[in-house]
Amino acid sequence: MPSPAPAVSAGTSRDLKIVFTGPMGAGKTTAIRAISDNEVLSTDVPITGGAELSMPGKTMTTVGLDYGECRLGDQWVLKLFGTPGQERFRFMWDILGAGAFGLIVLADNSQPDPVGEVARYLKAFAPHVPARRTVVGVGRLDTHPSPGIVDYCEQLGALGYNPPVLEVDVRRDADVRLLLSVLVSMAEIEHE
Amino acid sequence: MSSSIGSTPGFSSAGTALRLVTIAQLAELLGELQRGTPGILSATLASADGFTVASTLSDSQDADRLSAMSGSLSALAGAMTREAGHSAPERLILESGSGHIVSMNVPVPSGDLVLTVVTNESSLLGKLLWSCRNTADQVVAACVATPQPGSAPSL
Repeated sequence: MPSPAPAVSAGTSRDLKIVFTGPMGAGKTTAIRAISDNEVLSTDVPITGGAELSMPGKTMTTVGLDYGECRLGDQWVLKLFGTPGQERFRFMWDILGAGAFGLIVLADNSQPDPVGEVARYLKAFAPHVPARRTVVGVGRLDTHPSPGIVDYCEQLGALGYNPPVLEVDVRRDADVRLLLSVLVSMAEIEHE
Repeated sequence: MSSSIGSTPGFSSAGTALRLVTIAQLAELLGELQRGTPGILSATLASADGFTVASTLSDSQDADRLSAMSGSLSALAGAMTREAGHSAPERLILESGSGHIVSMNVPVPSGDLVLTVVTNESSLLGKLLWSCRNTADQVVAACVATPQPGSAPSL
């Protein structure tokens, strides 16, 4: 059931709801914290589960949502919502996806089958966010160069998805801002 | 005893710091809660990150879904009271025409657990809250009484 996204219009400052999703450990919470203008609302708790304990350096996980806000230029106020990554919190994906204007899927290239993971989230959010308002950000490409950006484009294209795919370091404000800029400019082009 | 809970069918890998014998005790406490309180349809203990620790639900998938939602709601409730400048929430009560759902945090040494009880319309809220509080205290006592792996020699 597609949910109506807010219309885009030039002129006064407008709110846009943007959802960050992707597998656990891809950096959704970090990205929102990196870019938000104010203090971020988080719902992270200590990890207790078996496989999830094996991620190096990761001790906390989001179980509800993250929420932050940032301005982009004079025109946009972005309301940033981060989802939990794990499948058991899928019900939160539908709650947070409802009414979203755009979607950012973060990938962790150090994990097995990162392209397949991205496809899984693209499919899960397809009922809520149009494919033309989706951007993929790939993290840890510096330490794990394969699959590369071209591989992502080819493999996602073969599945019928053609989002822009960019390298991102979610700890860097500028990188996250670039993802959001691409997303918003896609929307602006759409309405020209 | 050195069995790994995570590899044991029927138990989630949650609370790897909890021994099987403790989890069996917790399951018994949940059963007593359900049998001793009118209107309770199910009682489930989850880890704060949404894994089932023990439940009276026979369908483990039902228990796992309820556990994940309990983890989310508990964290959201905590975020909301923080935002309002309140202290940590003691319990979350959902009321509908079909009954109550009560969720409360249970702090144990291995990390917070969340006790969630679902009732039908015959439950009495006061009695329900008293019973849940009582069970939560017993859960804490059971987790404290059983030596945690690594903290004492195995028997």
